[in-house]
Amino acid sequence: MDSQRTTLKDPTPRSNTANDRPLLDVRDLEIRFSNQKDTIPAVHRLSYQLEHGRTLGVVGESGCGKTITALAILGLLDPPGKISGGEIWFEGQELSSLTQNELAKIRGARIAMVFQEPMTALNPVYTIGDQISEVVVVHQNLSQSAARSRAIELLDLVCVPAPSKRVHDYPHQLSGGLRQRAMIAMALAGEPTLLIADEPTTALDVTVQSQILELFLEIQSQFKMAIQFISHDLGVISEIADEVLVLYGGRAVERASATAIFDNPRHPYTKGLLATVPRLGGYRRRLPTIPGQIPNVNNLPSGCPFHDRCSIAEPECAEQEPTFDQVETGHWVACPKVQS
Amino acid sequence: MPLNETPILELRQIVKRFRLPRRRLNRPTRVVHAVNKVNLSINLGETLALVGESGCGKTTLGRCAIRLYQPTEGSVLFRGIDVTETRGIGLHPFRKSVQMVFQDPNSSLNPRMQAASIIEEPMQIHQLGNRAFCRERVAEAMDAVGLSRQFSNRYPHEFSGGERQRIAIARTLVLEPDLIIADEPVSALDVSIQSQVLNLFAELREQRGLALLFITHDLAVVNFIADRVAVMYLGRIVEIANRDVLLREPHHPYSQALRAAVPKPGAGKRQSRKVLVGSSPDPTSPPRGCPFHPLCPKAQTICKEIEPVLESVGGNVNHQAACHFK
Repeated sequence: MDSQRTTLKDPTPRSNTANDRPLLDVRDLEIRFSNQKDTIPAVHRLSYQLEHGRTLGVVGESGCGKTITALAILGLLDPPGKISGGEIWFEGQELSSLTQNELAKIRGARIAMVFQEPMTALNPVYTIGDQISEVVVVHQNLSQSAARSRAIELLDLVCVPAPSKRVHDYPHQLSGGLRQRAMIAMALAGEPTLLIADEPTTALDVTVQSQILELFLEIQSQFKMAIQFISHDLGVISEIADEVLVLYGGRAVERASATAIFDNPRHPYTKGLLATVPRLGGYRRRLPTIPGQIPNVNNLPSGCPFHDRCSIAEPECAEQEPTFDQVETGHWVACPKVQS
Repeated sequence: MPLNETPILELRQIVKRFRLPRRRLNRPTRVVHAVNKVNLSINLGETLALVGESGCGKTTLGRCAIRLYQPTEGSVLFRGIDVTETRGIGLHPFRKSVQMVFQDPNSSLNPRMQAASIIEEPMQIHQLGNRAFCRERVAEAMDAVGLSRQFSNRYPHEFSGGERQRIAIARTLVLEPDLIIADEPVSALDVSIQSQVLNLFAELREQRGLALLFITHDLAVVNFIADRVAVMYLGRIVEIANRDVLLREPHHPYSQALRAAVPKPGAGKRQSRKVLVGSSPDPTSPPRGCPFHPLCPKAQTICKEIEPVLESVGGNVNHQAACHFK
């Protein structure tokens, strides 16, 4: 099912020809939260690209900036959060300079989002049919009745059983898995070229998670959209992503193809994270651990934010902020100890 | 690890029903059978993992086992003594030996108490010695869970999630319990912190011979921590076996589906594979016959009529499954 995806050539970041331009190009993004007293850099100098029809897995732990980045792309950052630097290029437009009205035309149509907890993301007082139709009416100018039949089609597409009945259900009448399917149907309603999914399977049971991952792969092969898939679960990322971006303390620490990340991780944090997850095969008396705690973004260590937990850190790591360098073709690492 | 075969805790035919509010006045009250005739025993020094999806009754069973819920039917035996109806001071020895760690340390710790007082409180309740003795034991417990003693005067919000869970564990250790019931103790923690807390449980188990009832939904965690595994579905135990048997050759179709659904890091991009189709039945009106038959790929007519009982598989008394097909 993913044959056409694997034949796509490797991404060539920042190419100059218009046709080859990546779908999403985030350049040196800075996001800050500030009040009168201090400024918290939630995301610092983040750059990445996403090509048409590919899936980028974004991995990291709490506070690493993965959700904030997604909200920034959609222009949904709540004050005091603010994009304080950098550019977000999407289909030839720079999103951070657009007005809310211009963004509203893109949100839901060209870029759609699926949230972690469908119960809080769906409106409890409207039927799911109403909520899906609304997207179709707003973005595609269809009549109410045409929108209603489109909603049923979309529910059918995401494998909701008996869609013509379910369209009249309220969110609380659906199970967690069906609710998430309804959310995905709503995201697909505008036929987006970029779908951002923020931990879409975290609130679900494993067997249901497995069904939803299957669904993501199916709709991607049908709609040919790019997916930015955010998760803390390395297993899930491994199943869905073509490329992986690892974040730590609001910065990118490693980016490479999924195969390279899992078979040949280079950054000590990525290595540690992969070693530390409990696995099914084999028995271990103790799990390898990354010592210490996840840093708070308003009190990050100086230099490399990971240096105080890093096994190969040297004194200069505490002083100098590492640069995000390409060590192999398509493999970027933010660590001076990693040689190409 | 050699296991002592005396059960420290035995659950016999536990049933727990909850009444739901009526939808309308003239309708009958609806009842959820959260736990349905469950038998389970935990031996000294053993770790038993209880796995299943949300709403399968694993937390309810854990709470019945520690008498946070009063079971509707059935009995709880502690060291062979029935404590189901015991109340007040008679329950103190049980409460002291069986302790609980909850999923979310943000809500299980009192935000207005300092770490040391939180850890000390169980000893005051059980009147274990004087101030100096308690202080000393709090310090020991903090060492055991890897919390620096200088943090004793901090409040819960000053700790990270992993450290808060360590406080919750230290609070159980001061009573020197024989059994800890841990309800999803690592699910709310970040990946790099999860392994630290899992290692702590493994250490405590080895050093103190603690028995653990470890409630989780994550089979990879089960593989690390458990000696035996019980799989629950819709309030019933559908399979129980030693860890290696259950993870390598699960017999029940639901256990097989659970195992197949675990995503494996580094296994490469997903190829289309068999997944369960449909969603789980409503626990207020469970299907007739086998509770799993609406989703089961192997279901036959008999599955819709007769509920299978737990029976040993392949002559192995330690491996039982509730499925008509052997």
